[in-house]
Amino acid sequence: MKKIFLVIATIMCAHIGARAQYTTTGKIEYERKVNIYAQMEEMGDENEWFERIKSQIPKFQSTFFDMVFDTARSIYKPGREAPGGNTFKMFGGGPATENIVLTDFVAGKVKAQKTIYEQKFIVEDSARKIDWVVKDEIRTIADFKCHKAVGRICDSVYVVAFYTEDIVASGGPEMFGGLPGMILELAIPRLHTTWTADKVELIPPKETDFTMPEKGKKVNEKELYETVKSSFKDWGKMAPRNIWWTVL
Amino acid sequence: MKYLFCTLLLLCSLHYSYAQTYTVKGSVTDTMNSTKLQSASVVFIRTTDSVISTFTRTRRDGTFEAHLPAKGKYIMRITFPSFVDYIEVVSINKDVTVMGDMPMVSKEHLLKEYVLTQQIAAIKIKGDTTEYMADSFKVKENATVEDLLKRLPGIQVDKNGQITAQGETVQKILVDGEEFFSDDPKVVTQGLQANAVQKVQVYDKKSDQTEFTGIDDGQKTKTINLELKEDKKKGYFGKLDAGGGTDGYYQEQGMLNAFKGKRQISAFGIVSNTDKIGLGWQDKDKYSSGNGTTEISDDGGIMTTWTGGDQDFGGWDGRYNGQGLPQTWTGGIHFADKWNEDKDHVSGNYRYALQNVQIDGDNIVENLRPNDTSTVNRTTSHQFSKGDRHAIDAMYEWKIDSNTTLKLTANGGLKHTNASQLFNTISILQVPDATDTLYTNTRNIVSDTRSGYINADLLLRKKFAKKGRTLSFDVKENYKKSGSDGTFNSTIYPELGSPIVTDQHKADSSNSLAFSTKLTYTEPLSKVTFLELNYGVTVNNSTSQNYSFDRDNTTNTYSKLDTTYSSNYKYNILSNLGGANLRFVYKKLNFSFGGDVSNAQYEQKNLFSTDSSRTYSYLNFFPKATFKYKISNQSSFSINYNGSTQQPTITQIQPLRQNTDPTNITQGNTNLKQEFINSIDVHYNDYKVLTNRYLWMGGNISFINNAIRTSQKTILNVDTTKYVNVNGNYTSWGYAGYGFKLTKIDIEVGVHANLNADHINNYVNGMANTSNNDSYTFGFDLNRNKDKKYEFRFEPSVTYNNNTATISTFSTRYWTNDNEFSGSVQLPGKFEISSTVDVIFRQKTIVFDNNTNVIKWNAYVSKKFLKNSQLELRASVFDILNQNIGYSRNAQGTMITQSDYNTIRRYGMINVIWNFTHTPAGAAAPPAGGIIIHN
Repeated sequence: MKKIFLVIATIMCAHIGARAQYTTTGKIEYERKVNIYAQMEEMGDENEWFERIKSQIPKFQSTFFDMVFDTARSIYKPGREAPGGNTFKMFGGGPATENIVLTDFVAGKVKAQKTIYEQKFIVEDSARKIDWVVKDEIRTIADFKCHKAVGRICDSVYVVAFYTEDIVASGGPEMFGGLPGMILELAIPRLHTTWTADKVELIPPKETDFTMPEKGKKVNEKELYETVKSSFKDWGKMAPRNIWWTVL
Repeated sequence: MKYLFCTLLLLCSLHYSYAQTYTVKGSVTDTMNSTKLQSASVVFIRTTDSVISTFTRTRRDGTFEAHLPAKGKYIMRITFPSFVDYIEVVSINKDVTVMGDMPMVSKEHLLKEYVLTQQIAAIKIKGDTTEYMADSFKVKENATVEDLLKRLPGIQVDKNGQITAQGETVQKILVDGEEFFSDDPKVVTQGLQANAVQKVQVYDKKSDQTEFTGIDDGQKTKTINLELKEDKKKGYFGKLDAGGGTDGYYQEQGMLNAFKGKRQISAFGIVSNTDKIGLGWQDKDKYSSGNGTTEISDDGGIMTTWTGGDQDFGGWDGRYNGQGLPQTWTGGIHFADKWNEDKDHVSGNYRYALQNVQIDGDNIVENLRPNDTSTVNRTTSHQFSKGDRHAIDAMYEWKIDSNTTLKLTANGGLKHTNASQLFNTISILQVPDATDTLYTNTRNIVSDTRSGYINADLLLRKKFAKKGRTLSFDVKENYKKSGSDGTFNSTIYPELGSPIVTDQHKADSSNSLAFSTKLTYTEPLSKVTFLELNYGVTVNNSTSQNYSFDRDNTTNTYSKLDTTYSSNYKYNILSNLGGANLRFVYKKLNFSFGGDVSNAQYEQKNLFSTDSSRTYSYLNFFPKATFKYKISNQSSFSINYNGSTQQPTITQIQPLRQNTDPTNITQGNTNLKQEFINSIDVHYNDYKVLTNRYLWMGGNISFINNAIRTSQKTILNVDTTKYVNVNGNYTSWGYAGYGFKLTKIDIEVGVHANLNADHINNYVNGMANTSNNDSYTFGFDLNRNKDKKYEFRFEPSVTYNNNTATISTFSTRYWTNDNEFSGSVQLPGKFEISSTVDVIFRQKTIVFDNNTNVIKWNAYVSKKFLKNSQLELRASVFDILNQNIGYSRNAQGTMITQSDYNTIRRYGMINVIWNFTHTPAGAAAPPAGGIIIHN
């Protein structure tokens, strides 16, 4: 039954995603959308002030990111400014809006510059291992056929990914990857946030695209986690979400 | 072993190399052309939990080699662009498994099948959306969404919770249009109550879904959307607080908020003779309309503006902070509703307050005079007032479309106050080493005042499609009327000469009606430059009658009009205000400059005498410039410049002659020029979130050209004050603070310093004088908190005041020191103890010679009962040492004032507080009233 479904689903997408070649290099633009209403409503009685400004802000806050990749590495960094000027900036400018992440697929290593409030960190570690569970669902994103997979970070935070095997690199937004292809859509329900590729350009990257800034306190993932955990200790309901944003 | 890995294009985690692995070998071929496929993706998925175990890509020759971490069953899925996925279940039980050649089929050969599939689908689905109204399908009490779905025709739910709609598996369940509502669709269907759902919508493909969810949802996705009922939020909550104390003190409060969806009705009542005279700001949000307007500022910050708390209703914190002892009966009701997808919003309030206040006070006013002399007036007063007040307000907001908003607000009120005041003053001339009594004065004033007001405001705001282009139009109306009736008795007993007696009936009334309009337009000149233009007209017409009648001793009635102290004025003010402001916003910089020009025309007519009409006209300028630099998200620097003209008030030009304070008389000056004030503000703040450190500092200096200041002369014990223009005056203040956390001992530390320096030129007894009023404060605070365990705070500060005047070698210098210690501890068994101690030392001076040192100590013990600690019993003692006094000391130019007055002192009180809340099962509980400690 499962197999049949898969075949049918594949066929349905066929007339759009017809591409006879694998993609090995290119540039992806991701649009990250945060559902601000849902985030605030979750905070319950701590957000009474939110009801008063709800009408003045859009439900979704968009931020754009660019990723360039070849088969050996990828770099994810801030992209163009959101049109229309979304002025509401949660957490002072929005969390994880300035992150730059360089992933080395060959060595299985990741290096990221993360700006967390006033502090810049350089995170260097091996690529994160997530047990991805494949799901039957198939979607076409930016003309690529994508499979769904679900994983977890921080023990309990679910991550939904749609990845395409038509792109050889095993990358994705932020430090996500490790799937048999490129993640073109990523959702973290607990953060009410999605990253969706809105275009994929088949242009080869330049060597200069992969230069990483060096400014920041050098840490590994575990050290960063411990740092933010102690800093957000007194933040109540905000604390877990703030921590998740930093470990993306 | 390792060289094998180098051939892999994609990362397979390195840990495989340290453990036993099982190798699978094979190759991939295009069956039609018999060519080997390179870079085909080969993925192994564990059948037990669908986890991707490993994956690889085929080499140039179409072969692949994958390494699996364990034996078992795997689904092997091979994909290649425009080929149908190849899927096979493989059992791995040997070190090396050879799969052989995997055949792949091009999609072109399956096209027929595809068309067929679509036709079948087309038959089954009619229309884009199937919608079920949830209430039409009966489900048992407390049924979940899953139970509801099972009842809907065309939808099946299997025992694993998998949902099939119209024959197809449902892949997405949205809640109010949001896809990733929960990690698992089952959480939605099994965790949500059926009675919270209004509609179940089944879509097949939905393109406008993108707008709805922000997620481009591919081609064919069977989707169920659960629209929740608005009134799932239904219930009530409230608080009852009954308190009885020693010395006749009492404090009773009750409040209730009942809500259904967005409709809210609440009511409250307070009866007390403590300082509790209104809802505090927290309760105001729950039981009243709240009085803050929250807006998003240009740079993305959130700003809440509080319309100054109405002191008659307890102000901002619900506490009495005036002089004397209050006694209060107050209450109110509040209504709010939103409908039409929140496009319409209505709210209204009615409030009533009856308040008696008794004030007994001592007031010392020291006026420095030339030749090291000063006059000191010591007044004791007894005042009683009884005021009752009604206030009503309403607001309607209509979002005409997404860019246009209309807001109408109106409020009105009535107030009636009876007051009687008795003042006894002794005026002393203080010369070096001697004092000399000048006179004593007894005044008795009785008044009965009624006033009312009606205000309305209509505001229309429109945003245009072009970013930054906005238009707003505001029309305001303000009407005020008041009338008072009373008697005035005064007797002055000079040291030399005979007493001066005044015995009059006073009848005053006034009313004013004002209309103002303002039009504001902003236009983006470029991506970084914005122009703001505004223009407004204000018309304000008012009348003011003050009648004084002397007692006619023959008829024993107040029938002789005292024309000296009577007046009947009519004022008309017409002002036009226009301005422009240019703003540059570039990255972290925000710079703006501009200004307003206003022309104000005054017409003042004394209807008492025919030829006393006067007109004044002032052209006022208000230049301004702002420079803001946002160093980072938590750090910013700004400089503001504001210039403004301040025209003389009517009282300064042509005051009403008043005899209610016969030893202080104000004279008019028709030659006064307007003041021009140049004011510069500097601010810097820096907050380090991760290390919990913050630094803030700022300052202001204002130079006043042509400052309007007093010129005072004393003739025969009567002070006559006239306003004149002087130069060289300035006022300034500054502050700085630094806060950090001592993580090792878990104590938050803050240090702060404040500075005030005023430089005032004026005239005293015809002599030019320069006064400096300076004060310096330094303080720090220590905090240690543990959530739900304890809270301690120690906050000492010290202030030095230095007031000098050039006409005198005599200066007033004194220290004050304030130490506040507070702490509370949560004990087992839901007990809590809490205490605050405030130790205040105020240095005496020659003139302020009474002891005003105070130790104010409050404490309480409380115990909470019931589930959720809904019931609380609290025993408290206020001012345990019975030392509390009301107090203020103030210096301005050559005048230094100290007041102390009666205030609430020691009492004990027992309170029973019950917080209650009721919501139907399954609905989210709203914030409960009062304080609830969660265990």
